[in-house]
Amino acid sequence: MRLRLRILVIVSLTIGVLLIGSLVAIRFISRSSMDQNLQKMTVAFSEVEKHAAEKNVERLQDIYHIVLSQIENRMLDWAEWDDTWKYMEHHNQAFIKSNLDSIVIAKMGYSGVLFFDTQDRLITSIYIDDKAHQIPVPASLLANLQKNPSPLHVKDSDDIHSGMFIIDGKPILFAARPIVKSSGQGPIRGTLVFTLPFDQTMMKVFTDLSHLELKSTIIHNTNSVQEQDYPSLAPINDIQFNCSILIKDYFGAPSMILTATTPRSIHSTAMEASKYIRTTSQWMGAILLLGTAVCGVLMMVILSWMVNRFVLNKIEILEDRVYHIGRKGNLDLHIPDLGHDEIGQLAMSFNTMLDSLKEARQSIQSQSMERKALMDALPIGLLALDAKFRIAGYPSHTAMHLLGKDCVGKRYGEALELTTVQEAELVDYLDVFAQGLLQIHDLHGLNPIPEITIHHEGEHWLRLSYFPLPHGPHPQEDDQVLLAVLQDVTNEHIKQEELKDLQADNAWLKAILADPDLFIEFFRESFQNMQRVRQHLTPPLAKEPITDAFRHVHTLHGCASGFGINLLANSSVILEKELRKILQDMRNPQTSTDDLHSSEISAQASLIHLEEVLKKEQARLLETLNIQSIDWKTGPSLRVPLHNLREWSALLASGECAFVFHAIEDALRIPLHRLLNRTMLWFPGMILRSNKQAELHLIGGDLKLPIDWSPTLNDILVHLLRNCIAHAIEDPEERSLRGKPDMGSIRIIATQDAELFTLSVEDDGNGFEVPINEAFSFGYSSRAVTTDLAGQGVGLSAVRSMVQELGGTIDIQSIAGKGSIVTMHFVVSASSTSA
Amino acid sequence: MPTTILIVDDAVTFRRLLVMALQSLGFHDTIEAGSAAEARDILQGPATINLVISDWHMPSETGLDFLRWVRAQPKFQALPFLMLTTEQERSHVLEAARVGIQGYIFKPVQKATLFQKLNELGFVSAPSVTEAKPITETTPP
Repeated sequence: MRLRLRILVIVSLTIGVLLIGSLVAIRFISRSSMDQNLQKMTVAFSEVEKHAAEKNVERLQDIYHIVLSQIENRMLDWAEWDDTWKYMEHHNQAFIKSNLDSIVIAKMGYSGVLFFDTQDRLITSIYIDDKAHQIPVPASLLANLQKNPSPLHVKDSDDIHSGMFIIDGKPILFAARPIVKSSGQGPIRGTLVFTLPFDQTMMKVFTDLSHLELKSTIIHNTNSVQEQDYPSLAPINDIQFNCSILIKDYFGAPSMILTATTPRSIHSTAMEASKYIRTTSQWMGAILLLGTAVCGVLMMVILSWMVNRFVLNKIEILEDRVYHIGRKGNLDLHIPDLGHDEIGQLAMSFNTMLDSLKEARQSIQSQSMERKALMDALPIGLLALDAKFRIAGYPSHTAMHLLGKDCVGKRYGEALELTTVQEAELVDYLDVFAQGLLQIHDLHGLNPIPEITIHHEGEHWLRLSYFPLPHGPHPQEDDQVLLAVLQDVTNEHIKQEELKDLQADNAWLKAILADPDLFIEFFRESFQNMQRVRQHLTPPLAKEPITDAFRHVHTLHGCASGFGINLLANSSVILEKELRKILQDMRNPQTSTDDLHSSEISAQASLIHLEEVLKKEQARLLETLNIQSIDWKTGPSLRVPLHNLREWSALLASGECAFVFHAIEDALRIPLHRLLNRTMLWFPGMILRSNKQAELHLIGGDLKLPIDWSPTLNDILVHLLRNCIAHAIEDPEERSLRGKPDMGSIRIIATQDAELFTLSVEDDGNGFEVPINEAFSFGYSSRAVTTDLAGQGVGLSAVRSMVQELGGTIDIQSIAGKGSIVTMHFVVSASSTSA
Repeated sequence: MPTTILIVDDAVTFRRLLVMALQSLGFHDTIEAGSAAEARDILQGPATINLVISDWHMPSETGLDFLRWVRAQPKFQALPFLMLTTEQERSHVLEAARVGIQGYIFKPVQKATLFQKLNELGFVSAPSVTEAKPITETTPP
């Protein structure tokens, strides 16, 4: 509609400007050029008028001369007549009587006939007035004729004079010819003069000849007339025009003005014509203007109609259709045929475009369906998150399965069953992710919840990762900003757990196979220790027994971990914690008896559970070893080869008792590397749980020691190694800073000199920084914070008492920053030293 | 043009450790600052700093306070900044990311991670023409 209005305004304006333009043009043309032309025309007419007037003047002058000539010619009969010639000789009156009669003269139209002799004397004359009465010749006429230069002086027959005199205020024309014979031969006998009044008759002659209205004016005062003014041509008014000629007398003095008054027909024609042209042109202008206006309006109407019909209507249809198609998104709609012009072509192009768009959409739809199918087929769950971290769009099949079909629209954290704190943490993270404030792999490293367990149709382990979706700088609430990838790793976890169990089993089996005795001994010892723990836990509780109980459980925990018996290790940890709590409670004077009692009860429950686990594991051991039962009191069993027994039996029979004794003694000793099997197996697991790096080396592992030293010696070494890792060996960074290799080194060195067996534990750690005695004092701990490994108040004092159990001594040397050496000396019987 | 790295950490041990790690990676041009205030003086001084590695935990002014100051300076708005923190303190990194950092490094610093991070930021180690600076300070107790 706006387009229509605009076109109408433009067309109207154009026509208006055209009209005003033509009006101005017409006005301008009629004003300037027409005026000029009319002026030119007037000038031309004036020229014509002047020319005609000049002609009139010429004619008047000619007529005057003709009149004079006529007089001259008509005199010829008289002047060249023999009778006249004779008369002049003889003056015979008969000639006068017969010819010079006043009537005749009047008839001839003259006023006088005068004969002069050669001496200018008037011989005879006849002169009449206007009533044909003879009157004497006016004296002034005679005077004029005889005045020099006299017209009477003629030299030959052709010497003729004519002209005008003003006689007594009246104009008189005259002609003078010599009187000769009829043959025209001389001698000249005198001069004949004819006079003629310039009267009404003469004026009539002039009027008849010239066809002009004439008027004569006699000049009385010659000075009042300027000769150069004549002939004068002057319009009197718009109707009449005066042409005047000056007629001079014979002597050249101005004597008469002859004025012809002519009507100004040319001038009035010119005036008429110019008036006509002016009027006509004004009319023409008006008509032209009107015509232009009518044409303009007509053109406007036609133009508007055509624009409307051929352009605007089509564009309207086009616009309407396109709007509908755009709004409904229905690509099946088409634009109708709008003809074969450009708009029609445009419509056709649009239709073609719609077709391609439809095709493209179909292909995109099919592609997205394929993609959705692919997404659904994938084992990982994909879902989009909007700017408010709600689940948006169409989560993949797997995602719906994991989070529930109704998850769309829910908060992501809600769908994941997160706690408020967790969700806040996750939202904080996702917000930074969506804003792209860090590199993607950096962001992946910051994921606060990389894995999660959800309980939807069973327990699922999900691994969560995110990827940014392209979005604008200021995403709307509904914009999808992140892609969440949910990987169901439940099976992986189960496998991992299985693998862990399997590895534990393997470790267990390996340990059993390597040293079944060690295992049997471990269980035997553990049962004994648990019995002690039970006794210690019986009220009234005391500090020292509980500490002892804690040590036993702690040892069990360490050994179980080392053997990879996870169930046992976990159960012992629980009891360990309970005991630690009791110890803490006992140290705290504010603890009430009830609190202590409840701690005691829960510790007893944990102990019962631990014993059950221990029994189960023992059953497994028996099953594995295919043994019905073990006599726990016999201690570690030894496998003695059959041929040895036969040999010893034969020797006993032959009385070689001492030898057999030594042989049995020897059989009761096992190499140190076997004896310390438990420690060596426990060590790697312990290192893994710490943040330290260290290697354990056993030197002199072939030296043999009695098999029944095994429990105590292992306990000693486990204690020492634990303390070593916890306190002596530094963090890798600290080590590298001190110029030590990242990997710490702990060496167990066994030497034997006769009956003195020396076992030392060397480390390259930080060394002790407290007096030795203090280190051995009860409850000493070099760390402020207790860790899993050490610092629970079971210091080196326990080690010293165990060494003393075996009849040995212990000594510690420490160099701050360099390391420490724990040296233990034992006495073994000489007989047992031989390998 | 060698890369000049400003290390901001109150722990001398850790700074030394990081300097050594950087030197072994070929980045010899390092400047150490024991506090945010010291680091500010260095940044406003004549030296052109190409990268800042700052610890989060510092007495009086934290690494985040320092980062805020750096970003408030028009000429340091694009200065590469790496935040040092521990894996347990991921939320620190998120907080710093909102102010504007180019990355983070978790303690304990692994040399490989450090190298990768520097490469990502476009810092290529210079050929080791200068000898490593000798360590003059002793390890604190």
